[in-house]
Amino acid sequence: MRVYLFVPCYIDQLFPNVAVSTLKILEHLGCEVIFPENQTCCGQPAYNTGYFEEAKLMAMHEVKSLISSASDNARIDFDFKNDYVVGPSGSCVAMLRNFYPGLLANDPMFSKLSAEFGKRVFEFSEFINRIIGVERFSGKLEATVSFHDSCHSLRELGIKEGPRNILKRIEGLKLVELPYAEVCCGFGGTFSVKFPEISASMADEKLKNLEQTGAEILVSGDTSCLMHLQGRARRNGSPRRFAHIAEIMAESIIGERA
Amino acid sequence: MEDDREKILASIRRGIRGSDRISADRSSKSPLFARIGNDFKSRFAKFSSELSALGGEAFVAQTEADASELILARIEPNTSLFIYDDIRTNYGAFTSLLTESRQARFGIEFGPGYDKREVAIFDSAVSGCLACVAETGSIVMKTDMRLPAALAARLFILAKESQMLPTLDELFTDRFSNFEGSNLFLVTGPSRTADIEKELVTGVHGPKEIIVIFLQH
Amino acid sequence: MELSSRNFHDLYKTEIRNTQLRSNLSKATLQAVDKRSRSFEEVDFVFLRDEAKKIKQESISLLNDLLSQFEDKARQNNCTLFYAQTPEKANAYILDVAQKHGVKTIVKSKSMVTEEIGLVPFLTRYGIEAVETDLGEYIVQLAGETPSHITTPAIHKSRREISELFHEKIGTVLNDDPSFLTAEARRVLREKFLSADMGISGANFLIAETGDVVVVENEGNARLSTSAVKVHVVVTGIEKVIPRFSDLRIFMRLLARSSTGQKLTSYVSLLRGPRTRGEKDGPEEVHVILLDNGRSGLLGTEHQEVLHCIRCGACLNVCPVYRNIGGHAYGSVYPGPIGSLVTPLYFGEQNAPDLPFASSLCGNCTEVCPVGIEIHHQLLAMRHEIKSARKDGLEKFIFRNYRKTMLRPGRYRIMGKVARSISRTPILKNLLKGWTAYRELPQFPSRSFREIYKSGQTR
Repeated sequence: MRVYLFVPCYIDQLFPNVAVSTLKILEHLGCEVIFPENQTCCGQPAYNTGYFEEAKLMAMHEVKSLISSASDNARIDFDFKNDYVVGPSGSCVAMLRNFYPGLLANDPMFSKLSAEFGKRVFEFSEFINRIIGVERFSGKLEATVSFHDSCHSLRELGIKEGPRNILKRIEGLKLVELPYAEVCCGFGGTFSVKFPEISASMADEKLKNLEQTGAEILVSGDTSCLMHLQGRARRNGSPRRFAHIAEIMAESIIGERA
Repeated sequence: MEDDREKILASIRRGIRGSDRISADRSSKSPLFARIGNDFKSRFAKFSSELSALGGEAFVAQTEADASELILARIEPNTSLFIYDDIRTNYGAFTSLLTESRQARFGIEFGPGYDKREVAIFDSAVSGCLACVAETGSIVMKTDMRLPAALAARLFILAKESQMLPTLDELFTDRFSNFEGSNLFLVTGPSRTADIEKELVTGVHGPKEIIVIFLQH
Repeated sequence: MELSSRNFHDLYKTEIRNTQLRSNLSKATLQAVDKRSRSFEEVDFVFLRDEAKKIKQESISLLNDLLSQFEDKARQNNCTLFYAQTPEKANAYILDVAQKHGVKTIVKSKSMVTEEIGLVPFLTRYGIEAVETDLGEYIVQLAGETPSHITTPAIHKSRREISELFHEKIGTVLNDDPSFLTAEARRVLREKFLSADMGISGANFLIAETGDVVVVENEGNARLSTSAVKVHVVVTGIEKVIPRFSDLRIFMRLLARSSTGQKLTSYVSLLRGPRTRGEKDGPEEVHVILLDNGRSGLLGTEHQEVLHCIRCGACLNVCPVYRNIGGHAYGSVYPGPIGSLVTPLYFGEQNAPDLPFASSLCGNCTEVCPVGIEIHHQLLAMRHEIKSARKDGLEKFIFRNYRKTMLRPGRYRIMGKVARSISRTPILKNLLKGWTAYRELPQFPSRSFREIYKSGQTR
């Protein structure tokens, strides 16, 4: 199974270990992984701030780049019948799958391409559950964790049980449900800097609920939410760990923290 | 005063011009998960459980005498009682039993344009109804006087078994849309509010107690 | 209506510091969310929502015909109809009706449209007392405030605050028991009902087939405002009309559940005009005012579906932004997610330029909307309209350069490296003030993923 790895820009630049772990797990589960080097940013920050024209150009670039393993975008070698695009971010995957077709609807070349492309794009945990089969994975890690549903994973992609089913495959890991798990953490992209007081207050609510679980690690499929929550937790003086599900999975098969 | 009818309708026509006229295809599927049985017994069980959950009570009475007993046990001797005319006409025995030991006034004593203050004094009102809805524990009413039932702290309803509808699907049909008169209203449990810290308080402007008695015929 | 949405930034910064407010709101909205979920156990929410959406789409696509049909039926029922394009016109008509009947006191039940047109302050200026009879509205009126929630107007107030308010304004003893406070309000309002000659209400639905005005409520105050009066005035928007009586089987199952988590409200009144022969009470005159105020302008636009709204308030209850800042921060009678659409659409984007951005786009509003309005996608579309209409500025400059960078992978790599290398200097921290004022920045790694990948060290 061939996977074109989609690495959102902020993961590439700020959280490379999330991408490394994703790559490791996919290979561990028998995938052939290609990293298309011309990919940059899916354009979501521009899109969500209302700059649709800028987002559109980035969307075109990203689609072209992700279906080409060559370094110059010249040759499209993605097989739309058999290959997949997989990314460790529900939010950016939702952009690619759910919002690109609308954004590119009026473009003669990209309207059809983006719809076809969207069908092949999967969020990491979703890919494992729906394509690979969750039973193929198992690991071992002593930890108490809670899982944070990102709004895009939950409501745009409909991901709820999948990541939990993965975590349940890790021996020694205890999963404690977060109260009000479906409430937004307050990140919201540019919302977090346009209305920082509201955003931080929403993070505080989430962190307060996290206190009740006794979890050592908050796990999520979206590092953007975690970056925000961790940033707020550190400011409040909390040392709690925040980790992407791919990182936890990688640790559970290697037996040590990367 | 000249209104803006033509201007607004023209603006609407401009807006919807060229757009498709949509017709909602009338699905016959009921949105209810739980179907309610066809017999009165299962309908009553549902009605009663819904009404009780809201703080009301439902009973089945064999005779008019039993019905009057149920009411007399719930109102003090000095209660001021209003009896709607449909009760007086349809349930003669019940009415005489009730008025033997309690002071009551009848709808017939009030003419059109009566003084509101004269009916504001009643603690209790007794009325018939058009229908009851098991799904929600609702009473469907249409009365020649709106205020007694709206103001009294206790509302007693006499109903016939045949008046029990299983769900709202049977209520919102032609049978009820063609009602005569200026209004039809549904009462579902006591008058209530949760406007202060979401704490439930019943008996705000209308009844605090609602008792529905089904008479077997 | 007083609109202060332009000052959203100042308003929310004040409100968010009010910890009492946040605790009142949190308690009330989370309870409402919980009750709502439980109330849908017995019915199929998705089925009901899809049906309701279809009926609303039909209603809007046939609005012209349905209004004419409603008009005919309502006239046959002896109602008087009045179309008003603007709030001023609606207010003037209502004043005229009141003055013709020599009305001094009006009992009013909840109506968002009357808030929208600023009716009560308008009537007060002409010496007419219009008393709010919904408990929450009454509390807010006594306090000289505006509602902070569509269906729970005094949601921002604690029982202690209300007790003090009643003590000061209507002379009750200090007692913060909600039953006691409700009984005191009832005492005052009962007298108003008995002395008033005119009542004003809104309408939840207008039924074209029958000419009925449907009013849904819990307290019994609307029942009285529409019954214990000589003149009843209905003030509502043109979008409230639905085709058939039988459509109520859908809406009645959705509205109360979405709003308060009840299966049905305590009262549903189907009002068919003034009292008829054989009836001894009820109004002698019924006037129905149909307000446009920007609504017809939404037809045929991308925002048409905003007209589906049945004002249940579910989107406010689930909204984490609303929960943190409260309704007053929005500076409009329509707060919360739906308010962030309605306010700029009805009153002009220039008057509420920040509201469509005041959302994390979490989509919980869309998930609970009983008529299927894609609220968060609507907000996105409005963001685009606002940004497109705006002149060049710093933000546009930043986004243009960000795009330029992202279209050139080589430039992106270099920019990433530069940003990471200055991560421990105050320059970056300063550049990202919006972030760093409330949160720490993450530890910036020395190498990006693609650098690690290139080096072959991913294994």
